[in-house]
Amino acid sequence: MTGHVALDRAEEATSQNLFAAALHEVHRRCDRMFCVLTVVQWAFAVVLALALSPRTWDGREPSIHVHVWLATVFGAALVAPVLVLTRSHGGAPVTRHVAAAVQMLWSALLVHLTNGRIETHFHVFGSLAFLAFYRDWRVLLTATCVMSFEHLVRGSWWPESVYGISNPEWWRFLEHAAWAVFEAIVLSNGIQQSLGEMRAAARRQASLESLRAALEERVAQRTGQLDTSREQFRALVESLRAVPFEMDLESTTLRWVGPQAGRLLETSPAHWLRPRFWDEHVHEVDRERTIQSFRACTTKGPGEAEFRFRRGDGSWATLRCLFAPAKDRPRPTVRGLLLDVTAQHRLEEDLRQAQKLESVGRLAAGVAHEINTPTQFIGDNVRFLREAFADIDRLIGAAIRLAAAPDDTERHEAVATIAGLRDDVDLAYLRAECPLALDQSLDGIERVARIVHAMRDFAQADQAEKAAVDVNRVIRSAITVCRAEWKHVAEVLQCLDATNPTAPGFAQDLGQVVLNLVVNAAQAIAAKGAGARGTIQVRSRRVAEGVEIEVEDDGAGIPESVRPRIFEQFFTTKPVGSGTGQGLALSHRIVTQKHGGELSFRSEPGAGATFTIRLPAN
Amino acid sequence: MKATTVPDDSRVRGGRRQGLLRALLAAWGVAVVGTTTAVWCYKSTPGPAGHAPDHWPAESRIARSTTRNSLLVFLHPKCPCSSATLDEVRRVAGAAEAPATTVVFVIPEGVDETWCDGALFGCAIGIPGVGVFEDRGGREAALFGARTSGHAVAYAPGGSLLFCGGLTTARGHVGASAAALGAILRDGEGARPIVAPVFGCSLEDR
Repeated sequence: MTGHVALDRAEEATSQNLFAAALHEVHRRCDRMFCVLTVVQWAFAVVLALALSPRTWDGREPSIHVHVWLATVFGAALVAPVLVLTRSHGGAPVTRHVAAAVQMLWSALLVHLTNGRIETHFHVFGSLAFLAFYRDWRVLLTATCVMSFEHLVRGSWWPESVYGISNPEWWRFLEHAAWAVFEAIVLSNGIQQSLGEMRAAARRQASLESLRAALEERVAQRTGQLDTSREQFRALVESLRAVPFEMDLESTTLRWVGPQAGRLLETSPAHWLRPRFWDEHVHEVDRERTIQSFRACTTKGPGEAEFRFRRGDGSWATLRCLFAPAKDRPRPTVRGLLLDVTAQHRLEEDLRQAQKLESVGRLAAGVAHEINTPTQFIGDNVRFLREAFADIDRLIGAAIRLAAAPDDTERHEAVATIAGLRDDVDLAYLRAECPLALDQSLDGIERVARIVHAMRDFAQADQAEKAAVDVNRVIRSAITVCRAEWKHVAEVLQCLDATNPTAPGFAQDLGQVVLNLVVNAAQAIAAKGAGARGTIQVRSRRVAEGVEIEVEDDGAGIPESVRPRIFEQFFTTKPVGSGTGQGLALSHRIVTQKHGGELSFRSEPGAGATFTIRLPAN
Repeated sequence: MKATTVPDDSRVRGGRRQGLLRALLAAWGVAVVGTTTAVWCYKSTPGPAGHAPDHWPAESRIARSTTRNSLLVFLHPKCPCSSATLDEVRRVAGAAEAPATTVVFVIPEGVDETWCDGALFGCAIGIPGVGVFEDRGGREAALFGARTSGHAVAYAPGGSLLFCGGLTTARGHVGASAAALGAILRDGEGARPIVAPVFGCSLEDR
C-alpha cells in the first residue's frame, strides 16, 4: 500500500530521516547477509576443489592441485574485504560495491573450479538477485561492470573459457553483459517499487510519530493536571478535620484510613489497619449496631451513624460516621468520613441543659403559682387551726380546773366558765372546721409535694447510660411541671397505657420532649384564640416495635408552609421573645439520635396537630 | 587579536582512514587481478610436448583401424584435468565419421592393480564405441610420445599421423580445440599432421 499521506514540513523531514534510517538498516542487514554468503561460498569452493580436483600428478607423485590453493587462498582474499568492510563500514556504499565486485569474482572463481561448466555461469544471475536485496541499483551497475570487464578481458585472452568457442565476435562480451543488464533493469524496477513502499511506510510512520508525540504531549499535560488534581485532593483530604476510611465489611477490617487519623484521634494510621482494631476501639454497645448500619448501606445506600471511640490515650470520643457503599470493590466495602463530634455533643448537651433551664425558668412562675396557692390556703388553715387551738386550749384549761376543783363552788364556777367559753369559741364550729382545715392542708401539702417531685424528676441530673424509662411517669411529671402553661387554655386528658410500658432511654430527655410538646400544644390552642378552652390528649401505648407517645391538640394546627422546616434549629413561628426555635429541633435530635426513635407529626390547619414519639424497644 | 585555529582531530582521522581504505582496496584489487592472471597462466600453460611418430609404430600392441581414422588418447588415471578431455572424446566418438578411439590409461611401474580404478576410468569405459587400454609401464605412451595426460594422436587408415596434441584448449577446462577436432575427423591421408598443445598432468615422474 503506497497511499499518499499529507505531511507538514517537519513531518516530511522526519519521514526522510526515517526512510534513510530504514534504508541504512537494509544496507547493514545485506552487508551481514553477504558476509554469511561469501563465507558459505568460500567453504563451498574449497569443498568443490577438494571434490573435483584435490591433487595434480606427475606420474606416480601427487601434489595439491592449484584449485585447492585457489579456492582456499583466493577465496580468503574474496572473503576478507567483505568481512572487514562490514565491520568497519557497515551500511556504507563502499561495502556494498565491494560486495558486488566480490560476488562477480566468486562467479569467475566457481567457473574456474568447475572447469568452465556453462551452468556455473548462472551464478552471475543468482548473485545479481542477491545484490538486489541492497535496494540500490548502483550496486547492480557495479556488478554488471565488473562482470562485463572480466568477460571482456578474459574473452579477449581466452575466449573458450568464457564463451565456449575459440573465435567469438569482438562484441560477444556485450551480449553477455546485455543479459546481465537486462536482469539488472528488471531488478532495478523491483528496487524502485520497494523503495517507494519504504518511503510510503516512512511517511506513515512519520505521521504516526507526529501523532504519537502530540498524544504524548497531551497525556503529559493531562497527567500534570491529574497530578495537580491528586495533590489538591490529597491536601484537601489531609486538611479535613474528618478521617476518611474504607472498610472491608466481610472482615470488618479497615483497608485504608486518612493520615490525619493519628493527629485527630491519637491513634496511628497503621494501627487502624490491624484486624481487631474495630473491636478494640469502638464501644461494645455501639460496635455491632454500627457494623449493621454499614452492611445495610450496601443495599439501602448512604447513611450515617454515631458511636463511641476509644482514643489511643484511653479517652472516649464520639464519632459521627457518614458512609456509602464502595461499589467499585469486588467485596462488600464501605467508604466514609469519621467526624469527631465529641465537642459538638458537649455543646449540644449544654444547649439541652440551657433549654431545660429555659423551660424551668419559663415554668418557674407557673410552678410558683401552683405552689403558692396551696401554700396560701395551708397557711390560712394553719393560722385558723392556731386560733382554734387557742380557743380549745382555753376550754381544755377550764376543763382541767374543773377536774381539779376541790368543792362544788369552784366546780360550779368552772362549769360556768366552760359553758361561757363554749359559746365564746363556738366549739361546734371548730369541731366541724378543724378536721376540714387539716384535710385541706394535707391536700395542699400533697399538691406541693407532687409538684416538687415533678420538678425534681424534670431537673434531675442526666443519666450517663440508657435505662428502662417508665414512660407514664415521665408523661405525668412533664404535664405536672407545665400545668401553669396549659391550665388556663386547655384540659389535659391522659390516656396512658395501663401496663406502664417502659423503653430504654434517658428519662430527663424524654420528659423534656413531652414537656415541649405539651407546652407547644397549649400555645397552639391559645394561638387559636376565641377564648374557648381546648383539649390536649396525651396518650401512651405499647406497640410491636416499642412504645408510642402521642400529644394531640385541637389548636391552630401547623401551616403547610412551615412543616418542612419545623424541626430546624432556630426556626420558630412565635413572636420574638416567645420562642427560641430550639424546642422541637432539640426534641427531634433527642428522639432520633439519642434514642434511635422517630418523632413525626400530622396536622390539619385549624384542626390541631398530633405529634408522635416512637421509641424502639431495643 | 589573533585567532587560534584548533585542528579537527576527528576530521583528520577520518581522512586518514579513507586514504588507508582506498589504499587497501587498491592493493586488494591488484592482488585479485594478479591471482587471476596467474591462474589463467597456469590454466593455459601446456604440459611437456611429446612427439608422435609419423607412422603408427609396429611395436604397438594397440590395433589400428584400416578403415577409418584411429584416435588414441593417453590419460593419467588420476588426473582431474583430464575429465574435460574425456568430454571431448565422448563428442568425437559420437560424430558421424567417428575414428576408432581408444583411451589409453598410462599406469606407472610399481603401482598396485587398483591404481587405475577411479572416476576417470569408469567414465571412459562408459563411452559407447570407445576402447580402453591399460598401458602398464607406459610402453605405449613412450611409443606414441605421450608425456602429458590428455595427449591424443590420430592416424589415418593408412597409418600416417594426422594429429598430435590436446583435445582441450586449457588445463582441465571444458572446450574443444577446434583444430584438433578438425584434424581427427578429416580424411587426411598423407597430409601434414597438425600439432596442438596438451594441458594436463604429467605422465612421467618428476
